[in-house]
Amino acid sequence: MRAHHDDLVAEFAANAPNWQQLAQIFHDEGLTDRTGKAPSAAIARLTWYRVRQAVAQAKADAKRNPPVAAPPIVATIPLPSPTSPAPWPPAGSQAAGPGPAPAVSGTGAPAAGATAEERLRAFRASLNEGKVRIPEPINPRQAERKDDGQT
Amino acid sequence: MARRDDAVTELERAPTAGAADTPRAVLAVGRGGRGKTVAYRWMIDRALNQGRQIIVADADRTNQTLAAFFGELVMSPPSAVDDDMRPWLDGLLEKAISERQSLIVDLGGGDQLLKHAAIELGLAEFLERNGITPEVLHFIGADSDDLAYLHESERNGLLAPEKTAIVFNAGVVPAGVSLDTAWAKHENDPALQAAVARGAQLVRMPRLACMTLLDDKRLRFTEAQGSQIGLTNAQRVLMWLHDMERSFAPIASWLP
Repeated sequence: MRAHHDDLVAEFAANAPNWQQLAQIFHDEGLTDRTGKAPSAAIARLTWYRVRQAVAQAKADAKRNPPVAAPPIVATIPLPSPTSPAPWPPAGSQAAGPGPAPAVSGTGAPAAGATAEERLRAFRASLNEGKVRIPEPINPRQAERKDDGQT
Repeated sequence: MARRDDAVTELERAPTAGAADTPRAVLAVGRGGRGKTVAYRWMIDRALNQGRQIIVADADRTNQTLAAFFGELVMSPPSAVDDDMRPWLDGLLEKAISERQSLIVDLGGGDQLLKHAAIELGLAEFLERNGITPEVLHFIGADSDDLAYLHESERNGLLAPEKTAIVFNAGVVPAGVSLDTAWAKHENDPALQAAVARGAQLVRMPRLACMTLLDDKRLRFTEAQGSQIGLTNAQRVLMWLHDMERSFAPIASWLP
């Protein structure tokens, strides 16, 4: 779908896709979901949705940063099954998403481009905002010794 | 002194950047009792006070809470059986699309109606293709099981649009457990990490100590007056409204 994205857009604009029929064609071509089952119409449609999202994202990325090639996306994504349990994380789950973390992150999140781990850590730190802190001890004994040069 | 006018003004002052530019469907999901309806009540109050019309649907088969608070503004299904609810949801979606209005659908915790629509219709894609931005807000508290819906969404991608947020509700974290301790249980969850990696936003929903008072009296946040809940509680509501705006700032432009 990714490879023929533009052709498919034109085709679907002219003729609304019959997902049931397309799912059968995919099946006839030997395509399956990751559990080996025949693709359903819903999954075929979802995959096309993801392809369009991925291509749009890739175009946006390329526009923002021309030297960086668009990430490899949906062409390698196996069809997921809505009903069967699958290993976690699903293969290609990152690529299947609508895009990388946005420049503006969630509450307490750090700068743009932060990793998921950094964003989660920052969010946790933000949960402590507003807490009344234990005050620093005033003139602690250790400090007195240092000041007096007796260490 | 907090008065009703203060609360109304607070909501009117709320940042409106991006709001209502594009109609959106705000789909709050998660287990029961995780704050979905409270958040919807706040969003509805906020939208109404900023002069925006939205379609509000109460699809909770057990508690018609939104209908209790907002009366005739709220659309309810003819019955709680699937055969009635599914065409009713279809009608709602078509109404939002044809009238280009934002839509709020309050479902009971764990209800399968949205999941069914996600599978049958490709809901997120369907909405987007018809000019409605799909937004999924996962409401969670301190329990590990609260992430079950997120696990399923992220695994099969059926209800995982670009605009996805995880709302950590401080109001349902048990007394005696600090927020960061409660959150730490979730932090290494693979579904949560995958969602954040693809751009999901993180939002802390603040706790309102006197929430049950408002619930019992069916008071909207903008109606909380000292004469009804006491001056200190009215002030708590006002402070909470401030905090809600601050907490939801990362997704302020998503709000209806």
